Amino acid sequence: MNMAARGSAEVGSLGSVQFGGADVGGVAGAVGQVVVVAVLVAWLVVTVLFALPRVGDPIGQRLPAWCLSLIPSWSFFAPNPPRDDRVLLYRDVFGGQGAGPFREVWSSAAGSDLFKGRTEKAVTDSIGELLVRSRVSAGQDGQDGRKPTDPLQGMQAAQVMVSTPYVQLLNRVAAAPHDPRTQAVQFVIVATDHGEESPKVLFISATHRLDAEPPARTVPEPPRARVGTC
Amino acid sequence: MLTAAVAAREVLAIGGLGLAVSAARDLRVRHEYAPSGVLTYAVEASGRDSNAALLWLSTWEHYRVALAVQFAAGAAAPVVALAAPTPAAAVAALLLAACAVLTLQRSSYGLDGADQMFALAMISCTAALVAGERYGRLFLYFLAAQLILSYLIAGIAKLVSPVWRDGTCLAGILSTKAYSSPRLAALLRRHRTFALGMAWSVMLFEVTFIAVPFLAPVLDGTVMLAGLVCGVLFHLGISVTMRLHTFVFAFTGAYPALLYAMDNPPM
Repeated sequence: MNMAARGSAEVGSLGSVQFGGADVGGVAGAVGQVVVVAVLVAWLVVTVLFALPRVGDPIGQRLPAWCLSLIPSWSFFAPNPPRDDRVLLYRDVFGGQGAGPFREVWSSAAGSDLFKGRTEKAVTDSIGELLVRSRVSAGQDGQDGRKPTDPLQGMQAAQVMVSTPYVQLLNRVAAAPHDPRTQAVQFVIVATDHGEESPKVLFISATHRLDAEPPARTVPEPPRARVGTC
Repeated sequence: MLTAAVAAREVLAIGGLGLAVSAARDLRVRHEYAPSGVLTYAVEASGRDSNAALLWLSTWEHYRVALAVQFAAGAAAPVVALAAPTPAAAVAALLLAACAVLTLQRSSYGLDGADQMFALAMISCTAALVAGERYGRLFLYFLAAQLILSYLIAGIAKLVSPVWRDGTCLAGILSTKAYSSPRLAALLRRHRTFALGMAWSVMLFEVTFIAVPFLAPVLDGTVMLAGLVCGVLFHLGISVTMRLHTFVFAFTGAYPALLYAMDNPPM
């Protein structure tokens, strides 16, 4: 495409339709330009601040959600790139008759799907945020002696179970294929390293009755840190 | 000399095509947007205060219409940008900007850098097509600055990472299911020097890209051209190896804004 070459002639002809030429002259125009420059410079400054390790999160928590979504996050695959797969597994629980085997929500055979990018990214985002919330609720990465896979208790469990990523994953697990005898479901998040090490369990959910409604919130969550982008 | 209107049309042509690809991808996994899917808005909506219009637009029966509009306007964007009068191009850009912003506002799950760059690019080219040269150039400078920042921030974030500096990260990333490229990952594991070279070439490209607009006037056009060709090859490589196809359109779609800024320096 060589639109640059025909640029001048085109703009001349476009001027006749009086579109794309809504320039305002005089003081109003100057004030308008100053306002636009101020907004765009502020947008750039916030973009830079948002990328700084200790500054970004507090800014993210102060900005309203609609504004936060317009601030780009440019730290692709850094500083901690994904180097293992976080797999969402679930199993059916049959009341007093035990439980079925763990199964993947999305089978490995679907890995070649050219267009599945957003689904996979949403799951990765949900899992990443759930793991962070779980660690925070449990006392900063198990500093209280708790292992990451120990069941959460009391308020800790409640905080995690009403969080958006937990409900999002539980919602998807509930819609996966189930044995007719199933009364409840449980999901786990496992890290796999392509056969180099044995899979590592990162999170175990509570067991949820399958016919129950997902936990409903009555109080909106406070603004949360934005989900990382790739 | 490149004008704001022409640069905006070029952004529209490339970015629009990328938004069409993005919409096609999303429409193909429509079952995941259903109330039981992982991309449903129902769960996230219960956790935040959203305005009524956003709630209405974000339900699947309405959002799928937005995706269809995004696909149609995006697919038509190259033709509209090349041949249509400015009002038609401005309407196409406005529709695509609205769709791109809706995607960002609807949910923070499943978004990537391409979605963010698409929104910035479409907002900027809409402003340039509607408001004319005087305001349009400001938005094109802004888009060019965001493009440079995107590479610079990504490069610095990688430089501070030990796994990027020692070259082991790429084999790990390319081994994951999401970004799977098993042959290349195996090659990088076998040849550590090659892996180190690849990781450092990515980091050096990203942190030095900022030099392109500043060195171009001092040296000659070949520096600028080399920088932009490197950028295009970089994104094509990522598209082939990591299946991040929309990034090619989103980031190279912002290059006309950088060309405009170099052709029409702010100072």
